[in-house]
Amino acid sequence: MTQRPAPRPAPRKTPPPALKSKAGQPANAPCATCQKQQPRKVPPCDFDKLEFSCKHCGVPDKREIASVAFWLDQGRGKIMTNQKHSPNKRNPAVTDRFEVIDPDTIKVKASGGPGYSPGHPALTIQPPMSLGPVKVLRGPVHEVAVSYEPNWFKNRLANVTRIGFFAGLRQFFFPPPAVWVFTMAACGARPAPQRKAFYSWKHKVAVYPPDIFKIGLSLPSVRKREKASSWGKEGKVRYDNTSSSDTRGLARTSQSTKEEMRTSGNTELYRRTESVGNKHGTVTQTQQLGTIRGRDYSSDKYEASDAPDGRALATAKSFTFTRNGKDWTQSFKAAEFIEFLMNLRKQILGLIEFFKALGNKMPKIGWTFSVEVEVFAGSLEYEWGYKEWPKNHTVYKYYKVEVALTLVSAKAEIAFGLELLSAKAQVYGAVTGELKLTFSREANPDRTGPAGTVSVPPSVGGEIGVRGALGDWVEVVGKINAGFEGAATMELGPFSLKANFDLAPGKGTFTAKSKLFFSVTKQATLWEKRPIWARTIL
Amino acid sequence: MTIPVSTVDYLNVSIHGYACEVFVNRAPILRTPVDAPYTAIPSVSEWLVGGDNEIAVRIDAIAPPAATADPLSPRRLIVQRCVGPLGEIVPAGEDQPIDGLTYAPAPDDPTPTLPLRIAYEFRLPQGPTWAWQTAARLSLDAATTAELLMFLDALHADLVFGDIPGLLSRQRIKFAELAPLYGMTPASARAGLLQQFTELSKDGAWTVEPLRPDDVVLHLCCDGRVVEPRTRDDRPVLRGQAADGNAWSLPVFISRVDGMFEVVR
Repeated sequence: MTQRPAPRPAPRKTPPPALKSKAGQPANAPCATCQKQQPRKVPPCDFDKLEFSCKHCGVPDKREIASVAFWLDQGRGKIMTNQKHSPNKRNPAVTDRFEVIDPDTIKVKASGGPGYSPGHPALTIQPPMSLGPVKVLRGPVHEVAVSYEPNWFKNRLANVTRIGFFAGLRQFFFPPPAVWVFTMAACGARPAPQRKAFYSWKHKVAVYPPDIFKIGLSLPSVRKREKASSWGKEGKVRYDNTSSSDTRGLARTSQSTKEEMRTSGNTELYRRTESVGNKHGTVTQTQQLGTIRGRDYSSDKYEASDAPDGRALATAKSFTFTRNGKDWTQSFKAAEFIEFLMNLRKQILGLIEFFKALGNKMPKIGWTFSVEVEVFAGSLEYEWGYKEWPKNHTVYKYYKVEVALTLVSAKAEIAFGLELLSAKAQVYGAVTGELKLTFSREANPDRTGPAGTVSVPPSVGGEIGVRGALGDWVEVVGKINAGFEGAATMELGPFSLKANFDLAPGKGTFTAKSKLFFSVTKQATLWEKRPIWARTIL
Repeated sequence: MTIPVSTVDYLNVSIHGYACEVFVNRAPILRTPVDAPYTAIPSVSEWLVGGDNEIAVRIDAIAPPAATADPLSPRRLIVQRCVGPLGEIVPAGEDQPIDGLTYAPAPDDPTPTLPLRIAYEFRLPQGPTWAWQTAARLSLDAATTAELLMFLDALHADLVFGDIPGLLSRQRIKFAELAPLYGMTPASARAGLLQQFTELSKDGAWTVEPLRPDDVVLHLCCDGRVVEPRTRDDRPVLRGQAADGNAWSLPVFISRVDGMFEVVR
């Protein structure tokens, strides 16, 4: 590493010609005023070498380097340095600062050189604005205590309620350092023939917070299922609608049933809507309406109680947040996180409405749909903080992650009618998709560095078929492209988790194989793409 | 054979992991890809005969085992014979199979020698006798092949010139035998074909792929009584583009009846 040396101070101007004295001063003899304007001799004042070190420098298992030094190479006319850089190309070289963990003491030592003027060299220390005024220390060797913003953790923790769960958590992911500016300066005067001078040197000291944080998620499996079906004929209509949903897991059960039946002729109509909460009866709602055999009747019943939602409680308990081993979970209100999970589940279950709309276009064929979904099941442990890299003057983003988390697992079973190649057809089958992250990794500044990224596509399965009415028949050319698509991406330093999950468009090439006419082959879209979920979770 | 007016015999085919061809009485019905699941319900009444019948599958290739099993799309080979109401959709899973064949080797079974033929037989009561059953047995010698290519060329010319009456005259037996099976009269079927052609060739935007004799493969089937011409890549030889940009095709099965070639299916 070389830097351009500081320029020598500009030589003072030649004194103006001597003035003639009206008092009869002898010629060519300077007067007292002129004598004062003669150049004053500047004593040599400069240093050859400047060293920065912290408490850990040279301490085994702490920092292998003794110091970061800068020295003047007169031969080359350059400032040289012994800074070492990470072999990991993703770690940018740090040349302008010395990085330490709070609290620390920085030793600054100027040495060599022709000597100093009185009061030189001078070390100017400019801490961050919140950490005090600028100080000037005189002399070649100094030890300066540096620190990070005091009470930074509690100040930010106080914001959590105001800014919400996710933003509140995010502010603890690798906050920026407190930057101190150190400037060591001398006159830069050197005796001839030395042409180059060190003069002054400005270097930063970046101080990072010492805390190691850890978040944990351990979410039990909660699989929710919704089913709906509709079957019947038009005209002398017989119709049979059923709908049900159930939620299992976390030792709580929820069930919802809806039935509708209409029969032609004497017109019997029967409807029932039933919703049962969990097994402890905390939430229950029942509603019934009906008209049978010409006699109308109706009844409505509502029962409800305000028992706590077991799923929400379990979700809330599943999150932990520690700082240096101490639990601070209670400072986070998990409501936003719970709401996020519930919304995600709701969005996927919304697929049933999406398919219903398709199925209702061909009511003669009837439809049946079932969507099963599981979101955020499994565990995640992520530990992070700053650590000094033992091999040089830098600090790296330490992380350790262990994850076995199913972000989304969805299964959709479908059967509905549509018009395909100008004829009625039934689309049927099932598709599954699962976005799952399973790995463990720890930061290694020599290799993986802070830019660790894990990205996984969903694992998908299932198949979709099409059948036409008996007679002429429909053949699928190749495969119907249908199913789930997306990706989950986890950045590890700093932590971020992004995911998107969509229902891919149902597309295929179909041949209507005719027994008597021309067979026709065309591409058709059974359904358009249905975006389900895309967001940065953390 | 039982063919009431309102019902039709069909196969419920569900195959994944096998490239195969399905036959009814040695007439090819469909071919499946090795790398994609295949499900279809082709109607086959016109290939069933009174007395002894056979449904067969010829396996030409087997897909390697999947890295992870997909329970919703398993490896399978199922062909079931069913009967259902003509013109109606039988929802998946509600087929009423009469009989069928399934190929499900155990995981530790040795790999079979390919092609592998699997078949089963069944009897049907007496019914009509189809023209192809009594057609002359063919051998694809040079003279017969040349004659067949000339017949194909005539069909191709009918399509190029849009001569639907000419085309219909060569499909007389097919329309006579199949129209009643599929709920039509021969006359209404002919009218239907004409109407479809009018739509497909609207504004004259109708193209027919050239007939290349070197690309035509003649497949003898039904004990040599029927010939199915296909291209080398198993496409119908009579095909082209319709006015709406979609592809049309006219698969044909040819027999020699009373000394003349006729389209029988």
